[in-house]
Amino acid sequence: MELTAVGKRYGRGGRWVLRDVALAVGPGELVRIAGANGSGKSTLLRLVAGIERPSTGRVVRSGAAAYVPERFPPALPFDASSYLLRVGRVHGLSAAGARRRAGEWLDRFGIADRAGTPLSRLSKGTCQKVAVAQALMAEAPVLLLDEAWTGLDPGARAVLDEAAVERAAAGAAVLFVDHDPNRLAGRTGAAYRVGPDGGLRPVAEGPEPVVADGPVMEIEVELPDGAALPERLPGGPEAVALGGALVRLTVPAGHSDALLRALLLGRPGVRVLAVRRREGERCGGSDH
Amino acid sequence: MRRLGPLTRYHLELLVRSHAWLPPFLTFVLLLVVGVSAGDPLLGGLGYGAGVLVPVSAWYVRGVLTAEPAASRACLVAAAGPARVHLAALLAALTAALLSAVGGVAALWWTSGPVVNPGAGADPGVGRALLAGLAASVVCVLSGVLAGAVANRPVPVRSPYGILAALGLAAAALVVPVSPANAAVRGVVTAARTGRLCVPWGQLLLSVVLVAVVGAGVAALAGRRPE
Repeated sequence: MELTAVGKRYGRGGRWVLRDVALAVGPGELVRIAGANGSGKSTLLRLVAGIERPSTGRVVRSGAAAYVPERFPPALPFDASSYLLRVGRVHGLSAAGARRRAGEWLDRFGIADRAGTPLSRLSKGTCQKVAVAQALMAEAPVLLLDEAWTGLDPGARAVLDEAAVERAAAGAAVLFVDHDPNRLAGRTGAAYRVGPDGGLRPVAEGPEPVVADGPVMEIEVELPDGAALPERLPGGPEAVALGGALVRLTVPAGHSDALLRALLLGRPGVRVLAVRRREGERCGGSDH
Repeated sequence: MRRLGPLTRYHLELLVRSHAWLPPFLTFVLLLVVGVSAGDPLLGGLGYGAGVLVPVSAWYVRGVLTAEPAASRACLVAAAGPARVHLAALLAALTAALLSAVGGVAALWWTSGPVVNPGAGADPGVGRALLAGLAASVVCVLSGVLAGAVANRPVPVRSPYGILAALGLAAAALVVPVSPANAAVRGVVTAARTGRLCVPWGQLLLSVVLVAVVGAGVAALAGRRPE
């Protein structure tokens, strides 16, 4: 996905919302777009989605995009599951596949019981969950999240965090706009800011970039009876069975917060017994 | 064009669920009830019914295009591109209008009396009359979809004028002698008097080509000026 010398203004002689923007996002990258209100962040995402055309320059995108709009309309006369089914079909899923993924995402956001409720009768947050599920279920090569976290409860925000990271891990280019500066901190590959002049400049991201050679954290967890660890965990921890239901996970420190969050919020719910820093050792060294 | 099927299905479901199909459909039914009585000659009724379909089809197009909120359309556009989304909306309106046309022809056949007016020279037979009526209805549906496509988004017509423009275009399609809808309706109505019936194949072909060209043009415009 690449933007070259992209400019956008509305009407002849209008203000340049975006000017001379160059941005390349490769597969597997998670990129944050920051900027003040009305600075053109949403416009940038809409240009990438193909909803608007640039006034100058070119937008090249490989494959379809999945887009979460800033405001999702509850006026849409569908119920949640049939809307997801229809959009899944548009994204090229089979009827059975679309139905299955719609069910999975409604379940993951904890609104499976409201699958048959018309969108107009859902609360704002629940409607937003449907809007997010609509984009995630497509598993499109480009994912565009325009303040998709707004209106979600903390649990759903964590699910969306994980889903965005998962999509990037699966090779999608993920572009997101959010007002929380800590959103996906440490997990974004790059961050850009849309300036008041419409230019797009890179900004330093996060307090600490994750270094594979950095300090290592050990997390000991107890699994509920017979359960296995969730498959995709942030940071790709190394798991060692300690006998019984105890498992020790080893992960670079930069990933430990995300891993803990995934463990605590995931299913099955594991119990975290200990978190400690492993002193004097390097991950990826010759010790294994 | 692989995603056109699911997109059309989406828009059809939108049309049904939003009840936007009801006003044009009820208008169609009402105009048939007002204009045709039980026992009237079949060909006259078919000609009238076909003519009514022109503004009704234009209304279906408007119904489909206004039922979709901009934000949910944006989700579809990201997935499938603006031209395809617009084309699918037009196809959904066309489907709804064609269903109305078939239903209308069936209802007119059900309630009709003789095929031609009393005193007509010849009788073409019910089968040929229905075929000609159906062909004329399809011609009128296509003309109406054309009027609706030109008088709505993305063609820059401001909302209240869109309705007027669609009505004006529909009236023009029925009145202007070169228009295929005018020729098709005229052919069927004249046949009711004279008994000499020609199925309007030429007009059908012409209107299919017109709708294809204008539909492609409007869809391309949807890509150029998305909002």
